[in-house]
Amino acid sequence: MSVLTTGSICQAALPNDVFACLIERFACPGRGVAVLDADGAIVVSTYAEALLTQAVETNAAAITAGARECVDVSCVSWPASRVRTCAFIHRERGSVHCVIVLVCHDSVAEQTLAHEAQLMRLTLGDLMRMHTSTQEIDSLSTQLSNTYEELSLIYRLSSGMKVNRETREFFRQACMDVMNVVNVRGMGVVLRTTNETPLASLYGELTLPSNVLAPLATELMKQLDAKRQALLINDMTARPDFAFVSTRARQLLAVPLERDGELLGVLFCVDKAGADFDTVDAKLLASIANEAAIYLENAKLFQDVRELLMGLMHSLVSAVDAKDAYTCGHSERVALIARELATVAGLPTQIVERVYMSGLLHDVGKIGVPEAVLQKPGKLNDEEFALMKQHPDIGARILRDVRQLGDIIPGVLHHHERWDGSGYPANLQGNDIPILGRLICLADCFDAMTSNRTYRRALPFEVAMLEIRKNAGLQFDPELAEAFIRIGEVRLRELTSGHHEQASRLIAEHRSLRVA
Amino acid sequence: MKTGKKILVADDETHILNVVSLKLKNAGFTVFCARDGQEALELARLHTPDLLITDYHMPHLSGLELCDALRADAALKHIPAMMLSARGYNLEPADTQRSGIVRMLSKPFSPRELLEVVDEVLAGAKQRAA
Repeated sequence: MSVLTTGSICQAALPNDVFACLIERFACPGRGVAVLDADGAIVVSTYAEALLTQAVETNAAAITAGARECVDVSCVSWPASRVRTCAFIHRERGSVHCVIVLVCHDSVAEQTLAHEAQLMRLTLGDLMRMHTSTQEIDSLSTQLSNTYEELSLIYRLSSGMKVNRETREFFRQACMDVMNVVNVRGMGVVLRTTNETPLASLYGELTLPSNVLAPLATELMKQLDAKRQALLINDMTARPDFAFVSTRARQLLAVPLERDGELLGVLFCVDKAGADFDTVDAKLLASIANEAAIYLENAKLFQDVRELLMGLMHSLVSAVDAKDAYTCGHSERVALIARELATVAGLPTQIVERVYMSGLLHDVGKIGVPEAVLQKPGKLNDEEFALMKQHPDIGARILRDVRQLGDIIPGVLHHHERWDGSGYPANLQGNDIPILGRLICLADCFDAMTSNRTYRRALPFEVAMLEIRKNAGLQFDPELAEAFIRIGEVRLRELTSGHHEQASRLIAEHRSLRVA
Repeated sequence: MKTGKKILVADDETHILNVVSLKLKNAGFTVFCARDGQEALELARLHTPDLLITDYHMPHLSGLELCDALRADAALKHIPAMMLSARGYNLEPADTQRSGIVRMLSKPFSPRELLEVVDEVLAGAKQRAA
């Protein structure tokens, strides 16, 4: 059996697999199958014998014309060639697509051939429907596959949206993730800053020098601020506004990063491999921009809240310092020393973070102690000392109503407890004293000893260190006292120096005010 | 093209089956699809695939039972298995080891990632055989 096919033409007439199926079922010795295009030219054929081939070739135009006039199959006998053909039209979307011809010797009865051609017509219909369905399933599966890809991308992005991550790192990761799904040469982000120049980063294979990236960032911000929708450019050379980048990039897709009507920045992709950017890309990038904008908003809120908290804490500390300028800078120093001690002692990060806050606020209760007592030069009498001893309790009460500060209260309340149990306010002993209290106690005593006070001059560092060693196990947690000595004089000086100078200056100011 | 490598995919969800098989076919693998564990086992016996990718929840034979059945068959017990499961569902390490499950992927998975993992697993299987 000879098969006469010309690949591409064959595909134009009937899909390869469909034609192969027809041959398998209907072509046999004595029967040939041919496909003619709409104009009657043979595009593919398979014949048992040369005689049959010639007959179809000779009569192609007449066979096609006959089939066109007939609603069903058109059977014709060709006495000159001694063959019989039966042909029918295969239509697609209503128009003539091709003519299918079944051919045999005229010894075969017309009815037999007509019956076979009828069967062939039905089979072809089924095969074409199956073929279309397979194509549709493949196309749907491809779409679905892309959707899975996007879904898993968005899932990955939202699980990476922890606000304590650095913004730059969030966007770097997001861009890398997107470039895994969308094949582009570069992806970048532009973020609005407090000044006129936006911040731009670009990731991927493409690199742009800063004298191109910066104007690109500015131009994108300008255009997307004016028109808050995707900017889709598939031919940069046609855009005079982007002329400065047109030699380096062919295509650009940019979407706004927007929150509550405010443009926070721009997300953009450059040069898609082997295709144009389309609305599907724009939609995907827009949903990523949406996620990113939520992230930015959260990060900003987180930052705001943290700044607000720190601001409030510092104003509380200032309130204490304002009452007693001699201890000015003390709270800050205690906070720094206690944090260093916690680090050196190898305590968990959580404690290290908490002890700083707790150290800052440890004396906040002094707000409730009369100034005359706080600033009395010389020894306090019993009544005055009783007032002074209230400050841990007052401090704890002040902070009690702020739920978020609950964790740091133990440090405020128990920083005057002693390891041997003779401290105040609760006479706690040993490990019953909360760790924050034990840490702040050490830092507090050290700073008190090494600062000038109303009643004495500052002690030298070495003397203070000796005192700590001497009181380990009496006043101080012996293990923490050990750790304290390990911090070392150099580091302790570093931690406290800035604040001492600041304190001396403030004390001087305070004095001059009083004199006036 | 990774011609010659045969992968058996078992999932009762047609859309997953279509997506996975198309992705694998486009990458050059020969793919057999089964809609339940029993059908998958029969196909495995017929074709001895190089890798099984199976869903966890399936009618007749669950993914885990299917893997166990492969382990029990001398001709099939070397076939590595990858399991697709709903996110958040985790198998005990003892189960995965006994059943020869070398990788777990949770739905919705990225088809691109799936292909990477398949390459990785097949490369690993080749190493083990060598």
